[in-house]
Amino acid sequence: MSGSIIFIISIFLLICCLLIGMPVAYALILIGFIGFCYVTSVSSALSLMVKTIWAIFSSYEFSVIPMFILMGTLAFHSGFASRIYFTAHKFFGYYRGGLLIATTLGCAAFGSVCGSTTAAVATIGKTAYPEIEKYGYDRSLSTACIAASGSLAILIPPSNMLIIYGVLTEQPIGKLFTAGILPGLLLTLLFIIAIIITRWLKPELVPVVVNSKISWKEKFASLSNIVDVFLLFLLMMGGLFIGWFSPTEAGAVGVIGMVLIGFFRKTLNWENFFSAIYDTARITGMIFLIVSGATIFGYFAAVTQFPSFLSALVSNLHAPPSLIIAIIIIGYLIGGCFMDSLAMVTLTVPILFPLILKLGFDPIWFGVIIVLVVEMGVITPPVGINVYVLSGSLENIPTETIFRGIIPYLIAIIICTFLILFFPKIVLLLPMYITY
Amino acid sequence: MFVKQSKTSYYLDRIESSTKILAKLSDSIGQYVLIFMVILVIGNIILRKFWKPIYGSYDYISFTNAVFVTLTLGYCAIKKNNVAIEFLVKHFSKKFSRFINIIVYFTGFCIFSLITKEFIVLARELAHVHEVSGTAYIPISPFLYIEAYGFGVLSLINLIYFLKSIYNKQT
Repeated sequence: MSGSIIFIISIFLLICCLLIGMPVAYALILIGFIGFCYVTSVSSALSLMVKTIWAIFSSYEFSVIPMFILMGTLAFHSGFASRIYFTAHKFFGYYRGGLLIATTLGCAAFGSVCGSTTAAVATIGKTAYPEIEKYGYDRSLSTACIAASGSLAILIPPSNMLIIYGVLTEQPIGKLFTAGILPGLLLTLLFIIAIIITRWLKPELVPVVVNSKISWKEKFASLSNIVDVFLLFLLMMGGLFIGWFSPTEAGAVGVIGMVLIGFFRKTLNWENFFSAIYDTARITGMIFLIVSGATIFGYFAAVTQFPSFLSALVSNLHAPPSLIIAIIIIGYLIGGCFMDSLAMVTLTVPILFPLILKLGFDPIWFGVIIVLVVEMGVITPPVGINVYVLSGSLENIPTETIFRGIIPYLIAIIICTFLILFFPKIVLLLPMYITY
Repeated sequence: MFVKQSKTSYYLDRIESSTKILAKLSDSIGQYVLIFMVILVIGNIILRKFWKPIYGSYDYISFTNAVFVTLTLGYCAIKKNNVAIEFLVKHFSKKFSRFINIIVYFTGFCIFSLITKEFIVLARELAHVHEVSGTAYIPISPFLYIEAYGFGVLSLINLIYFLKSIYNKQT
């Protein structure tokens, strides 16, 4: 039996394992191990499995993962989300639809210190929704706005998804982070445009806010609530940009900065601090096990020569690379409807990445494209994780209500994806200037 | 038969609570290791700027990371933090879900036991040849024993859940 056929059978088995609810990490390690046993030998498969796990767990490059996760959980537990939301509220709150714009900007700003979409949705949701509800905004539109805007956290650096992509493909994390900045800002703008157009098309969904105008003095005074965290973001990204820090060090600087800001502002106490550490341990353990599984599975794919076979097959089709990338994106979109984003990226990237390189696409650009497509996955049914998190954190909001309002934001992400497909410079401009 | 089953249940519960305490304890140690890792990284930045970097800091950070992650694995499994695709699972009948749980936990037990055993073998081999890290020259084998311990706890948790699924208890 040829290697490629063995690999296709193993993919089928992997899907079966996943469908019966086996944890993704277990399934990847199991199928990768058995497949490697079959193609080589039991002893070499055992050796590969253990050495791969050790290499990942003890890799300096991978120590960036707990650092940025800890920074995000600290931001989550220190109430930064409410400060940032109310600052945005001061600037835009009194416009018609302004609370939704404030929510989007709040999520974008929160994304600059937290790389998790679910954390962004839960924190901003709890802060923003009572205000939105008070002024009588349409439930579907407003909750969908929170769910969609929360997804900005995985595009705007530091992004957990970009870290994992970087780890899987050995791409520099610093470059990936900077690559996410402009698309993140672009998507924020597109979300705001989506809100304005919806307000224009269906004014009944967005009420007229009869609030007194806030003076510019008051607006600028509110900036003091977020200036420290903004400076911390500049220090981290600037440090990465000019080569002061490695990504792990930038993460540690972010952690210390968040702790200092939290204790200084009295928004972080020891209980919250240890809750953040506890959450980091939960997320990191899970991610490392999945990445180990994906790497073992990737080695199995390599030994069967399936990625080369796939590349050759696609080359023989003589199809334009843009068509192939479009097919890949559609595949991700469909997969994203049924699969957790982390699972999907770790499963597919080791197989598709050699093909992407062969087609001549920039790996950094592809990373951002993947994150954008994943963003669609976290807000589309039936496995839109952001929607479930929001529905769980807000009372009396069924998931169907949120899904109903998602269309304008989904269109915004699709437009953003198209813009990046046709103008790759949006992604590749900033990474040109970074060393790590 | 009834007496035998309840006795089994009793012992299973005892082993489960002991394992959970062990996993929780390991996890707590892991959390302090994470704090130590952050301090180590920051310390290295400050010392590099004002004096000289910590010699072999890459090795220390790498090994600290390995210890932190390994010690948290068991508790992650207890807290069901592992990502799984559940949109189909919730439509399964109770009986079928139990059958699936038996398969999943048994698989987890087997695979993580194998990993534990292999880590011990690797640690012994490297201890035998006095293998040390690249820059700090610290022995690698003690860290591999910690890996074996972490995966051992994970394997034990899977074994307990497997047995509980067999005895039709909630996991």
